[in-house]
Amino acid sequence: MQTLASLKKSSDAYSFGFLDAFAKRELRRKILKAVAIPGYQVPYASREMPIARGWGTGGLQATLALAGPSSKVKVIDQGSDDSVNAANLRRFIARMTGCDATRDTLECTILQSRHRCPEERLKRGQVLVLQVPDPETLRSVEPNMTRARLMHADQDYGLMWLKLYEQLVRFGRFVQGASYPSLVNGRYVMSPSPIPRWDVPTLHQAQHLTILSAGREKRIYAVPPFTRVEPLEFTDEFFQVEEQSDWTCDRTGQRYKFMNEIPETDGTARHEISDTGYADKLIQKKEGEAVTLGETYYDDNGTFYHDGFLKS
Amino acid sequence: MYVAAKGGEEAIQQAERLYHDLKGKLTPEMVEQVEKGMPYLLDRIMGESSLYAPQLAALALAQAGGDTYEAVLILRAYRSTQPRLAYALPIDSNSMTVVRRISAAFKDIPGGQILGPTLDYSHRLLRLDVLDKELVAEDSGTAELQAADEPSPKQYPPVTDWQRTQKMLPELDSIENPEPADLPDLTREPIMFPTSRPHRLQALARADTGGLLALGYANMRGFGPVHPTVNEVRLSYARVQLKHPVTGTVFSVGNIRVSHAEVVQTTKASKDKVGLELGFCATFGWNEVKNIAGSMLDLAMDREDVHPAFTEEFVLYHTESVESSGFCIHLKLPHYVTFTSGMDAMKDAMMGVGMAQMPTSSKAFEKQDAKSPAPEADLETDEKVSPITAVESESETESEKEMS
Amino acid sequence: MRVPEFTQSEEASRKTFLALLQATSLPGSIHQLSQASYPENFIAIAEALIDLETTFFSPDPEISQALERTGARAVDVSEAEYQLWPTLRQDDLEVIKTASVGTMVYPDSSASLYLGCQLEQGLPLLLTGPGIDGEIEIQVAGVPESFWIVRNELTSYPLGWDVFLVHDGQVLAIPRSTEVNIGPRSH
Repeated sequence: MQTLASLKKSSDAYSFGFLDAFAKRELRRKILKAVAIPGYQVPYASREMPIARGWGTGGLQATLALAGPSSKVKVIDQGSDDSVNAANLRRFIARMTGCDATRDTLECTILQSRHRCPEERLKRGQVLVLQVPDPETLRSVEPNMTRARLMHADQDYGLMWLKLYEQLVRFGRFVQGASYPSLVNGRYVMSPSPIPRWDVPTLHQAQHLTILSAGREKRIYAVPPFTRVEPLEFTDEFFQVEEQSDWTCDRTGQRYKFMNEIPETDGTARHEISDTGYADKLIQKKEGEAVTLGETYYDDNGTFYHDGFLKS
Repeated sequence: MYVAAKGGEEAIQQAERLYHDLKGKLTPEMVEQVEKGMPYLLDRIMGESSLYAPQLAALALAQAGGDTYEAVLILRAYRSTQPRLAYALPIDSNSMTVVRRISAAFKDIPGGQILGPTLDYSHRLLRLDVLDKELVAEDSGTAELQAADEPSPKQYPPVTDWQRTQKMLPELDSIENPEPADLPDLTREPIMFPTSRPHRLQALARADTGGLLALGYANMRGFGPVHPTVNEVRLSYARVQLKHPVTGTVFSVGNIRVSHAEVVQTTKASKDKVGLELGFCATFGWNEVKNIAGSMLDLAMDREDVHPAFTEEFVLYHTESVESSGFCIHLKLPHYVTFTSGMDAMKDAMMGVGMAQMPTSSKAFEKQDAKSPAPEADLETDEKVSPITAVESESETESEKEMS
Repeated sequence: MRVPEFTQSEEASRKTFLALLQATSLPGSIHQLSQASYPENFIAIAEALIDLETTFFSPDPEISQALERTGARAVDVSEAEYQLWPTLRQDDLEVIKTASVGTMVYPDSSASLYLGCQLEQGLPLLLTGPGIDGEIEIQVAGVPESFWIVRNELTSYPLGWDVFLVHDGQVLAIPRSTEVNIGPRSH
């Protein structure tokens, strides 16, 4: 005989990918809109996830809307697969979708990241999911989101240009560090998330799709493949990536990849390639293991792969 | 190590185990004790979670070792996995069973002031006697509760009814048979500004108690426009009713504790609108301080030219407990990539202009010169030092000198 | 803890969504839906995207009925967020003109149009814009030529429709960001 208890689902039976069908459909609708309007922030419900807000819940929801058992997911934080937060997100994604995890940028179908893009070039079909703390690039000049939205509607970026101009006047250069404001498809200025400036050009005319998702702020936006992403710059004062040309990776001996600076007790510093998956492969290769190294965005002389895109 | 090489997953598992080990074992008995002994804490948690389930709230609290932000996060995350099976029928606040209702606006009100359960007039003396186990066995210090001569009525007319008949308040727009499914739902769509009335009240209902209190207090203390009178504060039981999906029969699924507050202030907004303005806040559970602060802010948010801290966007974004607590603690996550990037952008500026002089515009166009003092010459003396490091330490010393 | 079950409906919805996502990311390229024939192809799209939180329009009774089962609200063309037109006739243009192109503040509020057609035959269209490496030429039959004129007139980026062309089990997207030149590549 059927009893109420027998009809009850097991209390730990979650939907596939944690999100229920309604949440997934909503996210999927909004992702399609985001791709159709590159750089425009689409508001979305952003369900509460079982990790804290501000810890990648936006990226996590996007990844869960995409992932299936056949996906290969790579998760990095500060470029590292082993960062505790990346490990935690990866564990959750695998637990909820049964997908495989990988550390190899070339192998993954979805790369969820906080604060970095990989050094190896992503290809057509791959999706980069960037965790976004603050989607509103205008916030530093207009903290009110309602007014900032109107500024985007009017394509009114005067205050943003003024801010950059004032930086030039005061400091002799742009002093924006990460989250460098960039014009997408000639229409919307977006925050590329707090990736270093080194990574911003990798979104320009890329092969892959980038989805940027802010869970706490409930906004999702995207950069499709083959889309212009132009860091704001003047005709006579150019956007500059981080100057690390004198840094050599302590682990691999490589130069011209984005590095972490690690202070030493004697007051000096050593440097390591921030993309640990790539650095590990370089080491494996040196040790004679059969690993495939992908083409990188910046070559061994530090030249970016789209000729002339970075001016100096 | 913080970013442990290859050890990340093992490290976080052990860290979680250590947390639970230090906290003590999670048992059904503990959950039961929390549920029985901490009703007001559960009320607060359930309100902020938008989930009325005392047992689950007790479980979340016990599981989190009493960390309320953690407990709310656990419950909200659980809530977001639950399908919406049905919409409850709207509850008329006049139909609720009232256990406490007071008004500060009038000495007496139709139906009377009902003090109900409250600690308002208690002496806040720490009950050290409870720790003395022998004494407790004899007398817990609480005299027996005396029943009233006759039972009090279950329902009371709202104070606003009287004010409406006196034309102090505008008539309510009557909504015939509101369809619950048509109401905007904050848990299913993002908040946008200006908000709809349902979104605003939902946001207040699930706001962080402490957050609403801080802003409400700042508002009444002088930074805001509102120093209202409490029209009415109520603690009630509300009967939740559903309509059977097949037969259409209305049936009750139980009573929940709810509370609300109404505050009023005489209108000063414009000369052509004289009378009273009403602020409202309601929440799951019995939580008076939250409702009073929330209803005050509800009033303040309607004002034009209000202090930025009491605008709708400011109040409702920043009192969201899960978002605010989560983002605050996210600062514990590594930020060394953004730090490196930021330092890089500052280096040239620091090197050239010097920290102390940076903001002055008179130095503005020294940029060309600023770039010139290249540190290469110095560097040759010590090959081990990377150029950037050398620049940094040099510029710091310089700026320190200049600042001192 | 077990991995939650990857149900058939989850699998179909995901496949459909990924096809739509890839199609939108790479306008002009053809992707495979989870269902290969009418009306299941349109119903699969509806099941992947539409529920009681959305509005829809479809002139097709069979699709309409299936959509109503999702709890979505049937509304007029001018209001419907999701529109499924297995066949778009010349006569329909007057009414489809009223479909929302969104607002400058909320361009995402515009309509998404799913149109039945035959791909790789008929009218040549030359596409450029985000997601396209240079330019791409496609061919579409079964959609009135004047639809493209109307579409181009009403598109004022970021305002405009996101158009999805459905041919049996295949889908190709022309989002509002795509510039559509009617006619073949001129050499």
